[in-house]
Amino acid sequence: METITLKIKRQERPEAPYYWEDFKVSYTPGMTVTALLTQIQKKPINDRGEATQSVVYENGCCQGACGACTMLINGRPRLACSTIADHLSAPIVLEPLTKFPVIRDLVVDRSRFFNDLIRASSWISSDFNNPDAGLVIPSESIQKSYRELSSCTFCGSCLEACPQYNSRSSFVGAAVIGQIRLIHLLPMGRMEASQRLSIMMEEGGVEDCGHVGNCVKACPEGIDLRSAIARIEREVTVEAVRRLLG
Amino acid sequence: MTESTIVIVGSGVSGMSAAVSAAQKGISITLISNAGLAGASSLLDQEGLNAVMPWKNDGDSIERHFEESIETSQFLARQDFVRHMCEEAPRFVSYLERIGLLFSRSATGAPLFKKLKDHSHPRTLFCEERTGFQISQILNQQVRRFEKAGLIQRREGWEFLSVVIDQRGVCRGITAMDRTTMEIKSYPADAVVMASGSYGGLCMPSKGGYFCDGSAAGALYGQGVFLANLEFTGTGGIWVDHRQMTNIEGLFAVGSASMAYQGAQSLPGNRLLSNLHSGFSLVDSSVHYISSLENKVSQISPDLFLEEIRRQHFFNQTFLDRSGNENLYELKTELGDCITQYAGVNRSEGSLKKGEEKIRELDSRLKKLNLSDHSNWRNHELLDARRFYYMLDVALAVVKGALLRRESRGTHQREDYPKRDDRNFLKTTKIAFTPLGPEIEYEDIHLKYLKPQAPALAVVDESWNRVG
Ligand SMILES: Cc1cc2nc3c(=O)[nH]c(=O)nc-3n(C[C@H](O)[C@H](O)[C@@H](O)COP(=O)(O)OP(=O)(O)OC[C@H]3O[C@@H](n4cnc5c(N)ncnc54)[C@H](O)[C@@H]3O)c2cc1C
Ligand code: SF4
Ligand code: FES
Repeated sequence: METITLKIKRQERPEAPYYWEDFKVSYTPGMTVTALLTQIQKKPINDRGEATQSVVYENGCCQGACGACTMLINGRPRLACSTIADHLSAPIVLEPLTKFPVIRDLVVDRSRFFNDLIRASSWISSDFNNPDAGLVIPSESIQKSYRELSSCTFCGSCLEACPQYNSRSSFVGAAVIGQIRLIHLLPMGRMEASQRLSIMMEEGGVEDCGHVGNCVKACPEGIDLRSAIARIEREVTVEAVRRLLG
Repeated sequence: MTESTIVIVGSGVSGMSAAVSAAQKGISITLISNAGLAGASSLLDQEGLNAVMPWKNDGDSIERHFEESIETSQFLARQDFVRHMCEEAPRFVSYLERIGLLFSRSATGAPLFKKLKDHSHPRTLFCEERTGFQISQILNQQVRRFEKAGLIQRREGWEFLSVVIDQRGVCRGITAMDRTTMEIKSYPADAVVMASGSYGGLCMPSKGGYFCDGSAAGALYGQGVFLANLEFTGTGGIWVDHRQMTNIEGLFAVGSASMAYQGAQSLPGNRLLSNLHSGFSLVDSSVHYISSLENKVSQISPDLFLEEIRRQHFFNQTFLDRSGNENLYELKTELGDCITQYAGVNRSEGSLKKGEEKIRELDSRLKKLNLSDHSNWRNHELLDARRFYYMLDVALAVVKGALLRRESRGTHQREDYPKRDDRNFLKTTKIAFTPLGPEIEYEDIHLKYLKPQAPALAVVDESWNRVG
């Protein structure tokens, strides 16, 4: 069996300094980064032969659907459970995402992202017992956009890649704007559009986007975030004019 | 109601359904989970959603949907739940569409239906290959909506540890541990709802999600809660009555955590539907229960909760104190292999006995555990060790149930008893924890609407003889 070296950026607590630790783990072709991390759990010994604390990382669906395992793999945000080690150059360097506070080792606190999703109000206000309004079936091209935008796993890769998203700004980032666009694709969703656009006009809203386009390259779902952002920018402009004319 | 008196554990389709439906009625609730949607196998369910839509004139009927559900369950599913679920299915479809779910459609805009195995008609709606994912995300939007409105308090990153039971045997809340700070807190409640998912990950953690290992049900089982039908791979769970209440007053179970809807095998496309239905039906029964309570939780002495918190701290310490040479993750892999090999699709008395022996061996090796991490900050090893402890109990119950059920039915196929035996085993397996091992009792099934056609002895109808 081959071995492969993992170079991991570690940190015991949020306030503790970080350090690097290398691990030689057994590897068979086809293994994912998550599978390699499991090897460390089974044998928490570093490459100097010293016993160490096993590396703390996030695990979830194990199938690329929940986004929980996102980390920097050789410098790029990726899903550990879906990244096969075969094509990665060794040593494989693993780091926590840089845009969120580190909790421990590869685990970060993404609550800013989740709170922004609540703030963005991308939902339709209707209850189980409400009468049916009669479903308006969207066109095929809308359905296609819907499928794309609704495949977001909230992994945060787009935020990691975005130069505008950081602790000094309150920019909500591409994924949140994508979710607003998603809801606005539907006639029922447009009913509360004005409220969402207000949020998009505030500080941290869509105007903070610098149009670098890194988000599109980073998204593991291949979501066209650039055009979602462009659409919301246009909606904001139209809404601003509408409000002006009152 | 201002105070949150209902605590829901688990944030998959069933937990979110329960939370959202309570919030729609203005009831405020607390929704606790260790990993939110990341811990939910709902996200991965690709089967689709069964519903006989009234406008679809193809000879299908709600009655057929019901019959086929019960027949596939081989008569072990709860008929009253399943019947109501089939009746309500079209309403769930309209609700989901109204809140923005788009089912796959043909070029003309008509919704597409799949005809899945064991169905007489195409009646399964789907969202490409991601129905569970899409339904989860759309419900998650609704949870956010009610979070913003202040009706749902979401607590993610809290590991459920135990229920708090008072002297009279009534459930008064839970204890949970913050996965980051490792703080243990109690959440007092008048009703607790377990929506913690299935135990599919007992053998294959990489298939059903890391957190779907049945350990929450295992913890309850150790506290005296009955489990049921675990020998039927993936359909058993916490035993519940007609109100979805467990044998502990005030403690409910919904979704894949419960045993109510699936019986010996589930009709493909019924799982997400039953998760929705059980979550949405829960509110009325729990509210009804709370209104009948003499003493509300606010009148219960805080000592009860402090005592349980102390007990849980002590339990953690027992893992940290172990100083052997066994690695937790090696043990976990061995358990998975053991279940697959000895209690998998092909099982017999011989293999199951070997499985039982192996589980007991793992149990004694767990006493010689050696954790590499003794810290009190984001200690995944400690959390995983606790989970593993309970997984072993559940695994033992699976094997015991499979050993004693000397017949083949649904997903339980015995090589040494290849026939279905309605005379002896048209029954629910009810499992109680004892320190010496699982104790099993069989409960009669209420065949309220539908009976097996030939309930004579050991009849085999070849069509039943499908494996897995
Ligand atoms: C591979 C695979 C296998 C499956 N196996 C089964 C099966 O065996 N049986 C079955 O009925 N269905 C199974 N399903 C179907 C699927 O699990 C259900 O349909 C799913 O929708 C169940 O929803 P749920 O809400 O009940 O549970 P889930 O969607 O699994 O949600 C469980 C929730 O509980 C939380 N949770 C779990 N433990 C704890 C804890 N200790 N503390 C706090 N929170 C906790 C999780 O984080 C999650 O939020 C499987 C699906 C797949 C893809
Ligand atoms: S838009 Fe893409 S990169 Fe951003 S959170 Fe969603 S899935 Fe991840
Ligand atoms: S664990 Fe869910 S995406 Fe990797």
